[in-house]
Amino acid sequence: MKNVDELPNNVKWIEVAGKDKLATKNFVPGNSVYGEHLQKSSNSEFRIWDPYRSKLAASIINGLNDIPFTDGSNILYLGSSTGTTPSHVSDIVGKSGLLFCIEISSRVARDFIDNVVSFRNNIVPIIADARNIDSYTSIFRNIDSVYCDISQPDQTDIAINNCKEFITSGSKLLLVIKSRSIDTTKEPETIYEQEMDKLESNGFEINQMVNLHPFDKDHALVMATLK
Amino acid sequence: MTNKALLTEAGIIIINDKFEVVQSLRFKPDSEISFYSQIKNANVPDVVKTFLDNLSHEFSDSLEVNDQSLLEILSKIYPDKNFIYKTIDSSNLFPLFVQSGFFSSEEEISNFLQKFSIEYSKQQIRDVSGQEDLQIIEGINSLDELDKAINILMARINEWYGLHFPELENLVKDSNEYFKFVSLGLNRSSITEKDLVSFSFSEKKLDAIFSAAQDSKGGEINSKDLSIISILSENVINLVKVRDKMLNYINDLMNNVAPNLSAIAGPTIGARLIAKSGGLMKLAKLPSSTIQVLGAEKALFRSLKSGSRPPKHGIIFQHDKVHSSPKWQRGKIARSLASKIAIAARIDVFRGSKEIDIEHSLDERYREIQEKYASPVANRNNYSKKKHKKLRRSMNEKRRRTS
Repeated sequence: MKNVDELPNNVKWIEVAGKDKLATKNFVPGNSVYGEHLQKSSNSEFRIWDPYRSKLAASIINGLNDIPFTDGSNILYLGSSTGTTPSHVSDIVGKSGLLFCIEISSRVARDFIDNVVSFRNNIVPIIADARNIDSYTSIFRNIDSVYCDISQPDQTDIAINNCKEFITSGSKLLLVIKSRSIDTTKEPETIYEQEMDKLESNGFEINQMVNLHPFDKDHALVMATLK
Repeated sequence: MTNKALLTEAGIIIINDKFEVVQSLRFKPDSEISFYSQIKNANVPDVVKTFLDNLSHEFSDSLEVNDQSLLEILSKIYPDKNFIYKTIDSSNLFPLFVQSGFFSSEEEISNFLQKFSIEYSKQQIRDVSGQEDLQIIEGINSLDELDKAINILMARINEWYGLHFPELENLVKDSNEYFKFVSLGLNRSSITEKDLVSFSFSEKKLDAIFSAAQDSKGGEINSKDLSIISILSENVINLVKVRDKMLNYINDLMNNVAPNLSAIAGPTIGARLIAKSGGLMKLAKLPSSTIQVLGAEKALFRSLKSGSRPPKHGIIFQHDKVHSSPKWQRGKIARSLASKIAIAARIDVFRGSKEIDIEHSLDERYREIQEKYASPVANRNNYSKKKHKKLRRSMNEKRRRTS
């Protein structure tokens, strides 16, 4: 489970009070985004990455391999919310990478801009509905991969449409499947299967699926490559 | 060959099919946000209008446009021309910016676009935060929280002063008078008639209070205890005043912002519906079946999962016509009320003026239900699993169609 080679750039395991915790190298040393612990390790400062608050951290701990995010990646991030996970992705892509964050709610975007964007110059916030690509301001870099974490019944279709618009074949999509947002009456496993089928029939190849239990109930994260 | 019109953050660019710039309009530097958001909202600043008016020689009969709002604006200026919505690959943007002379280097463009995005987001937040229905949402939530706080504190004061003078609670039933009494900070053994002149107690009531005070089961209390209880009580009385002001404020605002909704549902229920759905516009977009059960989500999802009976009403249960009707009529009335609310909210959003006599149609249906279902229908089957399955099937179908 804890394979050090598989971790993306700028991510590592750090020992805090006798326990190994996932952490990312702080892009803005001294700045803690949501009250997370800051820890010095080998001359750099790291931010502890809480799997209970970030589904990407949860999926790494649960064994997601070969995450396509690295130093210099340009990422389209759908559903940035208040910016917990984006801040860690911003740590990963560093100063040559760029994160385009789409968020529909101006209320959470307010916190996102105040707490995250104003400290990190590798984030471009866009307040728009991810269903309506026309309403985005310019995505002015070639996108390397897409991360999608939105609570809508049609989340998979939204992710697919954005991928078709912004990434080319061989690029990856990381999709958080929130089974409770899709259909509360069905078994989560049924929904994971159904959404993965949807990805496959839309030209994706599934690389890996990890269940986010025990960090998030009824959630899974799927990594897929656009063929 | 088809030319393209591109709306960009820095200006409008017209290119030919070889991606050569044939015309361009640079928005005034440092006011790009204003130009861009005006166009996005289908307003046309004068400079842009002049530019677009003089475009006719740049295309023969059709033009590709990368933005829906710009497309709409163009179709209005040139009603007999053909405009096609088509986006361009963002990798073309940088060379076009340089070619049209907007910027000289890639770094400059990146910096501009990133800054633009942040400022544009801030502008959007500013616009949304200024909407009046947000004031309604905060107001109605404050009202509900005030009610909660007042109830809790009242119970506490009752309990506390009751240690000293338990009989008072039954003698002074009106809660406002009770708390006014407590706020005087009186020790029951030394109450005089003079202390109580500001109350309109009858002789009989005064006698009862004095004799109860003499013969009370309450314990002794010192002046320190009394003074803190009286301060607490005073503040609860103030909270009650704030609550009344809040209610008036919501009524005024609702009559202004959503007069039709207020007329049908009443200002407070209307405000709660707006708060629950997240805004007047969002409420107007909801189907009436959803409005009917807003606020009864727990019961609704339980019903969808287990096949138990679905809820008949959520927030709208608070409406007089629903909760004061006999049980067997409530579902019908709730359904009719919800549908009228949906219509009213839509009129409020899209027309904005009060529809005369909008309450009439609801009253009519209300009377019809009262007459037709005056007595409960005997022997009704319970909500069956079979029916539940049918409902589930139709819901799934609906979802497939929309996605």
